[in-house]
Amino acid sequence: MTLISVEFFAFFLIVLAVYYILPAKLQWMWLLVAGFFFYYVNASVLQCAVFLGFLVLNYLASLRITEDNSHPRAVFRLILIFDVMFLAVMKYSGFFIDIWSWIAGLFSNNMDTAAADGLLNLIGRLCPPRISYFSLIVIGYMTDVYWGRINVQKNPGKFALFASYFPQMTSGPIVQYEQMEGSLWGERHYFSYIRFISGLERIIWGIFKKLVISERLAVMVNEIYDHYEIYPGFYIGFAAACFALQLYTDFSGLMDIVLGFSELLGIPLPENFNNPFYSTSLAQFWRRWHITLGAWLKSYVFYAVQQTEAFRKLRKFCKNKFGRDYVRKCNIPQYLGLLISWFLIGLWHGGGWNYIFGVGIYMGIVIIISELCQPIFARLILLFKINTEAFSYTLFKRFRTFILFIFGLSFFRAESLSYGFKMWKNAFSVFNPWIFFDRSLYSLGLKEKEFFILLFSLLLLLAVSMMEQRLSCLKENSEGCEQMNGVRAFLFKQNYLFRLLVFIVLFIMIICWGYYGTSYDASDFIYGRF
Amino acid sequence: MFKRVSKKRFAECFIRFIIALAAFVSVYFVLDRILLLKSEDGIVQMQAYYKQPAGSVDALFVGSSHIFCHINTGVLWDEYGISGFDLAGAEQPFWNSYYYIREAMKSQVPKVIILDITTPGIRPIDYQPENWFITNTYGIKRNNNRYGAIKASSLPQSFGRLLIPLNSTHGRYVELTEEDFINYDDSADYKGFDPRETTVAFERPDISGVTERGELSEKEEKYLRMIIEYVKREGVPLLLFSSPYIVTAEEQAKYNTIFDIADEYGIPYLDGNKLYDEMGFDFENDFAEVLHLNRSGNEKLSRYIGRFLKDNYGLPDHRGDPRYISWNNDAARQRQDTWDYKLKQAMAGEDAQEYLKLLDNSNYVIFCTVEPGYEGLSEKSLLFLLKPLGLSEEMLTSHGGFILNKGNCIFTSYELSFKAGINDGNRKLLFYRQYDKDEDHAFTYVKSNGSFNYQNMTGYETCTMPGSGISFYVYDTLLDKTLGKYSID
Repeated sequence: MTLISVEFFAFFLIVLAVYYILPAKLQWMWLLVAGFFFYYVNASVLQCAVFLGFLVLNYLASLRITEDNSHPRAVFRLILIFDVMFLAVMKYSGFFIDIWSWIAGLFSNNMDTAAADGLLNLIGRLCPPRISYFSLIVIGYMTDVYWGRINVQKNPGKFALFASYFPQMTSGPIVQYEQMEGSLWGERHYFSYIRFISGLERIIWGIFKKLVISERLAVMVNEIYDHYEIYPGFYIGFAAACFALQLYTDFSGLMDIVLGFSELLGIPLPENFNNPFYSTSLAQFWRRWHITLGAWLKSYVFYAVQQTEAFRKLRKFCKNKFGRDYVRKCNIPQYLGLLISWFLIGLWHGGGWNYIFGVGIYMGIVIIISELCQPIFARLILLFKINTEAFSYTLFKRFRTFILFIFGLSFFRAESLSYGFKMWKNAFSVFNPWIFFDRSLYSLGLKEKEFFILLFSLLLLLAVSMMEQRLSCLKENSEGCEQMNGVRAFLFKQNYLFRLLVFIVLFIMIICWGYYGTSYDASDFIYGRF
Repeated sequence: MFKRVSKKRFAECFIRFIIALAAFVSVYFVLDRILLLKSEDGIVQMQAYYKQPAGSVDALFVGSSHIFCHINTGVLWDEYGISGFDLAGAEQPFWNSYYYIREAMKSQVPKVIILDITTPGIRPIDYQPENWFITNTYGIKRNNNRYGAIKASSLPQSFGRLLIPLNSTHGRYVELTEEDFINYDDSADYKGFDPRETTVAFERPDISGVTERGELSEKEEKYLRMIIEYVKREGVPLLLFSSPYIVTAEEQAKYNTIFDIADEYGIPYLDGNKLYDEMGFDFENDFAEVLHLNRSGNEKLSRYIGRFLKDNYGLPDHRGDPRYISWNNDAARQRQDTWDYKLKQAMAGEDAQEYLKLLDNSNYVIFCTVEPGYEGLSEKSLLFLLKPLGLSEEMLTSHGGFILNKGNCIFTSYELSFKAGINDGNRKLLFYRQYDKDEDHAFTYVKSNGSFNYQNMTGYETCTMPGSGISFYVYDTLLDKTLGKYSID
């Protein structure tokens, strides 16, 4: 049962209808039942059992951590090691076996590939879907309980609901307990017409992004990536830019759908995107892209790492070496922490060096270099008397950020790290800017009419995001982002018939222009695979 | 369930919600109708069937393209006054025929149902490819028969997707034409016939010695029996019919099995592949390709079938009955279509005399140009044939442009540049001549806004008339189609 399917809509309609009839005490239980049912239809019995076992073990451990006579530190370390190992084995076995195989190859030892395949097959059958999401959610919860930031949830049902709330189980956002505690249970959720319409509007917009824009871009991206040898020069840059837009519309579209469904249930989920392409630096970009993953790593990895004994010693060493001003001159502990976090972000996206490099270490290195080069940039700005307040300068920074981002992201789409580098090598083999003028782009799988539909849809997306940027009340802070959707708020102020017309037009565009039905598998979201 | 709100607010929200829901549902159904494939391989047949006057169809032909390509309803009407209808879909299997018959019986009580049985022989598969699935199901209105037809035709994993036509048809937005938006009033005149027009010579197949029995699939046999039993319950006579084509022994063996089942129920049948002589087939000229007859072949078959039905089922002659005017219109269209076919044959065979003879048709608008250098006037026979079209001897002596209709010349010009045209509602045709200074020559064109038939719709088509001789560009006003140009040097 995928998110964009008649089955899911029917399932959700039933969930919604029963949900609002039930009293507060039963509403959360109903969500739990619905969540387990949703998980059950998307996983095998064995995978469900593994998932339940994981939840039970963590629940018991969380109780144990808070018991007076227990050894909370030892219990926490044990469960943390278990959770991390669980994630590592289930998700990264293939990656580790590849590394092992490579090392064994160095010493001329042949690995038993049949045994490795058998093991991977077994793990594949056991690995519960959406492990990348629920494992982080649970690890975050256990850490918060251990740190005493939250009270332990003694009700196993409520704990299970927090970990398996079904809209977020599709592909995030990666929520923290504090964000969900107040809304998942406790208060009675009443049906609200305004919230209902607002949720529906968000779902329609999400579907538009996914089916009309993302799937159309995918046609060209797949064509170039799958045959990069015959698409040299600017084709590669074009594909990398298209892939960035494809991934954005795919993932943010998915988030719109998930958040829209949750809104229908009266349960707000944290935002995962905040107009990232308006960012003026890569660091800012990542505070606006997959916000909840960044926030999770900041809370539970970056800060935690900074508190370790090794980092304390490192800070002391830096202070002795560079003086008290080391933070400004060369903040090695922070950079190391950043690199660890970026390595984990890359690894989270998949067990492959292309992920670890492209959306991991590369991004970290660029951010560190840009921070180190700040004094040079400041001098250049002074030297050339650049007006940093001008729109043109902001535009330049946005463009620079976009270029830096798409280079790294291109490795995400490549089959491997070497594949990615070969592609870029091919990009610089020819200078062929005429492809943008001589109709060459029409040979990438989208005919002229389709191409114009894509351009029109992208312009619509741009217009909406510009309105968002101008109208939204987004408040960025160190912990992430709380928001009130600007465009929807704007639309709510308009006359009823105008709003209805806007969404009917959007609906018609989805029906006619959407990639769905025969021969399309539009339900396959890129971030739905984790 | 709801937070306490004032009744007024509640009513306001409720009404708004209902309006929005109704708007979205309406838009969905309108799009579904617009984007639906208007295919003469099955969908248009069913849609036209719904428009037939209740209780007017006497002979209902159900089945595959062997029905809609072979049974010329115009011939049935012209020869015997039989009100027949070809309710068929391409490669239609028995499970679709079953639901077609059930749907058909809702508005008509035919005096005989003729069921084509050739699909199990030609396409022995339990699940049709999606293009044939579409033409055999989506023409039916949204009801239990459509649901049953889709369920029976789709694999379990595809059922949910196929239940919603837009999943298959939404990509048609790139090819929409006027026909997709407008519900044509004359579709009741359409009786489902859609002939093939090519000609291919074949060797006569000999299946006289085929006595073997081929195996039907469980599903084929089940639905065949369901059809027989259903029609029996409804009290309508059923005739099984294997339409003639270039049949193989393997296929014939399957038909033998079907005839055994017919015997079991006491149902009559006609084996068309054993009646070549009775029907008078000429294997050099009567087949369009291996599976289908052409216009010449289907006329022979339709005459034979019409006579058989008349003799065995006592079908009444409705000619002259105003209730059956649509069959009269259909027959007129079929006659005209046959005429057009012959005209095209004459063009292809470069038979100028025959071509000019056939131009004398009241439904034709003829765009004619005469250019210097034409010497055909010396042939008296041609002049004799041109006069009935509205061309006088003087008109042929200098270069000019003419529009001819019903033996009259409705436009004449001898200028180097001129512009004229017709617009009969369906089609705009522009007839114009432009003088090119550089080449010191006048070029004449006919510009048409394409074909009425979506399959051939190419937008505006421009035909350049030759610079010498006498040339004709023909537009058939009845069938709304252009028949191309022909020149006599």
